[in-house]
Amino acid sequence: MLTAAVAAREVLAIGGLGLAVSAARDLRVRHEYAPSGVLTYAVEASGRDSNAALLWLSTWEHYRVALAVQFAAGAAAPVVALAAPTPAAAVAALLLAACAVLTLQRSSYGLDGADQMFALAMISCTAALVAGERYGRLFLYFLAAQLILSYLIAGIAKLVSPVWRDGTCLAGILSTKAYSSPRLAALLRRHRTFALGMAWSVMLFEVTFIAVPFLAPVLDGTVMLAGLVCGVLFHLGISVTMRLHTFVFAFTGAYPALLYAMDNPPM
Amino acid sequence: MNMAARGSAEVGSLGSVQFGGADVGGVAGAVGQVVVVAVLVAWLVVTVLFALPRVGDPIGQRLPAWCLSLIPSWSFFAPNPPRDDRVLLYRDVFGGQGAGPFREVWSSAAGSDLFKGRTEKAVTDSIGELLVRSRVSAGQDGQDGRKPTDPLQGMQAAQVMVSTPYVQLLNRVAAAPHDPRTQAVQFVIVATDHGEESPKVLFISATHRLDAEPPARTVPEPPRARVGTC
Repeated sequence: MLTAAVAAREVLAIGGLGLAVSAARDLRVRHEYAPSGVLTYAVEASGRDSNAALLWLSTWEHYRVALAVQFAAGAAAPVVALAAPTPAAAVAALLLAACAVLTLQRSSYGLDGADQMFALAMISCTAALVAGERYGRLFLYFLAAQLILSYLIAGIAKLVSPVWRDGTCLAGILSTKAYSSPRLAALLRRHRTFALGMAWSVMLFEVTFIAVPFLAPVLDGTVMLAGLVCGVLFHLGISVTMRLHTFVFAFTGAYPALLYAMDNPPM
Repeated sequence: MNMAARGSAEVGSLGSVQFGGADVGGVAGAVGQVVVVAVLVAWLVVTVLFALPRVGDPIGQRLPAWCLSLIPSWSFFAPNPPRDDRVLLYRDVFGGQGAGPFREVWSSAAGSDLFKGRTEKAVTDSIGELLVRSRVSAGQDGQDGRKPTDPLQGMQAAQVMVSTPYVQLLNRVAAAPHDPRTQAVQFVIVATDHGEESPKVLFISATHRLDAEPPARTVPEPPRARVGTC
């Protein structure tokens, strides 16, 4: 049976690696964090009441240290999670949780769903590693619930959208510079049925993912496995076509929490 | 990685270092669990409420900024996915000698950069929020007969020009390469649809002296609705 400590270590290993990728990406565009860059904290700080510690940490000379720590701790996370004693794993998780939360607190510009899932995952795995099974399981249930909600809310939001239902949205999204995949966009424009199938497969996957934990005990392990494999392929596909690389780590990194919740049902 | 397989043995050995096993027994433990459950359930409930169309924004405006940033927004690319590019252009203004051509702040050639995700998202967020603020300041999507690209007047202009996204974009435009004769800059936001339609101008800024400091605020803005995430 999967324990909270082991599930937390798996979350740390996958999520940590994703945070290292995220930090490398951010450090590479460091000029945009300068006072004249679009990711500078100086402009946003003038518009809100921030506490002194956040202001101090958010200036580039300090934030770059946080990014370097995030990169180092994230790159080491798989090894630490696999082999290090729990205190070392807990320290790595705590550092990564602090960095992930700082990213969210620093600015609301430039954030995406992966940043939010990283923060939830690292908070949850830190709690599980520090506080033990009794409290840790609560945080893992929470992370599993957020994972299910992420798919369900995204799926419902797409179902109410006419451009998702008629299948025209994907070609449009994949034509933009930010998510550019011109060949696939052209293919989707030429083959409307294919585009419709792709859009509906995304929506159906997202709204039915919630069934995975509930059907798994009734059916057999293959349902659960199929659901999770679909999820991994879904995120890999998004990574290849839309260059949202950190989403793979952020969302599949939360899968161990779902496995734990199915292995140790709350009720 | 097959950590699950070695889970039981590992936990046993970890128990000896007395870490990861800080369970509190008795009444204190039970109270602690209730508190943790209450916080986590509230977090989940707010996440769901935040996703509801008419409920989410009022909640976002009531929550303090530090709390708001911890509430995830899970409606990826829906219900209105981006289907055109919002491009930030700027031009140099040469005093009495006219103006230079409009140029992109980030050239199209940089489109293949594998690691530029956060920069591009920040610009998209800033542009999206600026357009919303501009429409709201002008009277709800031009219901007063005003076109989106008409210059803002008086208080409307002031409200938009001291907003964070406007200053953020102006700040970046000011740092872009300029002609030595430049005295002032102006930026525009254009929607392009990959050659299917001609580019559409969505926003035209005021003209700003290049050597002037960015507009400084003396009064903090009220909490704003969170920027959408993808």
